[in-house]
Amino acid sequence: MDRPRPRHVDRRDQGLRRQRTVTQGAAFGAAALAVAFGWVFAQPTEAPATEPAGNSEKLPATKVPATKAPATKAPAKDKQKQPAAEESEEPELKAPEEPPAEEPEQEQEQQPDARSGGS
Amino acid sequence: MTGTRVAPARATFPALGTTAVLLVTDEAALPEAERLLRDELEAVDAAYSRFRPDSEIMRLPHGRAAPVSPLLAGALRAALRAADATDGLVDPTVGQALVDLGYDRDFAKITPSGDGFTPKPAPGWWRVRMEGDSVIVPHGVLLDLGSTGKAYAADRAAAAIFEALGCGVLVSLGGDLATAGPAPGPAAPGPSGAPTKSPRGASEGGGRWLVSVGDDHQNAGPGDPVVSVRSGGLATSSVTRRAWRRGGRPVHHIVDPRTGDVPAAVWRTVTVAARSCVDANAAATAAVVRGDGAEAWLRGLALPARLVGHDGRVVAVAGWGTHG
Repeated sequence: MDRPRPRHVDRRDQGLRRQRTVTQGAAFGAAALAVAFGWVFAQPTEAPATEPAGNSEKLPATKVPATKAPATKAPAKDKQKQPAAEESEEPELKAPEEPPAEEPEQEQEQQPDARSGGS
Repeated sequence: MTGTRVAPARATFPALGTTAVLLVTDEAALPEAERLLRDELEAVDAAYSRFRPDSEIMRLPHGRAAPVSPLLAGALRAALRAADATDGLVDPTVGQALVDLGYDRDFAKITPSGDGFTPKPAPGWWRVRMEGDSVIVPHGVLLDLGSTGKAYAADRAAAAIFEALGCGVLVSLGGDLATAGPAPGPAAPGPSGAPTKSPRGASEGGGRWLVSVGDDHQNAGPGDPVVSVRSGGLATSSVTRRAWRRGGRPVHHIVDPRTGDVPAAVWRTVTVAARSCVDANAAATAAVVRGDGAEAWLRGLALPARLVGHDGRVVAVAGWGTHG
């Protein structure tokens, strides 16, 4: 003849199951969060080639990061620092000593030396 | 501008996915000049071809400083300087944008694709750092020196040939021209009987290179003008060449780094004269990308230019076509 299980044993089993469920849920949640954060921070950041209008005034003012953040915009012209080798090369496109002269009609009949066009 | 003019000696051969044209004022120097040019272009191809997995630029590590050859260092400096000078409109970090557009192999091997794509802005040239002869390429950045790379090679080759052989030289790589030394023609003799030369070796006499200008560097079109150039560089950027279809619409090889897409269709072809071929190329490409306002920008820089709109209108700025 089966004896009924004491009620306190059922309660103990129920508590163990609940505890296990909570523990497993927490573990899965933590793992999912870790994967999600890893994926988010693994994405390469996109940056516009030029500074978005007004972007410089929207920086947070409360906290300064402990380490220098990667650049997200072009440095200002007057503040850009280049190594010494580049400093000698002015970042300006230089005009020719003399502009190209269009050849008169009779000269146009002469075979040109070269041709400049799209490639 | 008149007078008997001796045509220069010429050599033409395929190189860097386009056509190389070499002109020298001394016919006897042509074989050696051609050898020098071929060597130079082979070195360029090995240093910064985007289509060779074994090229130096494609083997660069990301995220840390890596030493580079003097040739690649010079080309990178020229590209970064061009980016700076054009407010980022000519940006060497557009490599991935070009790949997304379908330009991921030699142009001759590109096939039209109906697949759509989402353009992404270029990461930004300022992320690439040069420290002496080392470079740091950030993760996720694919470099493409296509815009300034050929022009830099032309400048380098012309200067090297003039230095070695002493004759006038014109090097054209796909229609981007660099000159060095005295231009062909009746140069005025200097005190020693030799033609006088400027610091860059350009003739101060009457010599000139005759260059026709148009949409295509190989085939002349009706009404294409011929201009005379005494020194410096001349470059043309055009959207009529290296164009294909992607996602059901026409695209081409000139990318707006701000969007990662082709620029607005304002200028079809822009030709610019400058002190060097790199500067001319950067200005011409930036003008195509800039679209509206490019004339004023070029005028402000005093860069003589000829702009042809998609509607066929021609605009000449900064003394293009006339002697001052």
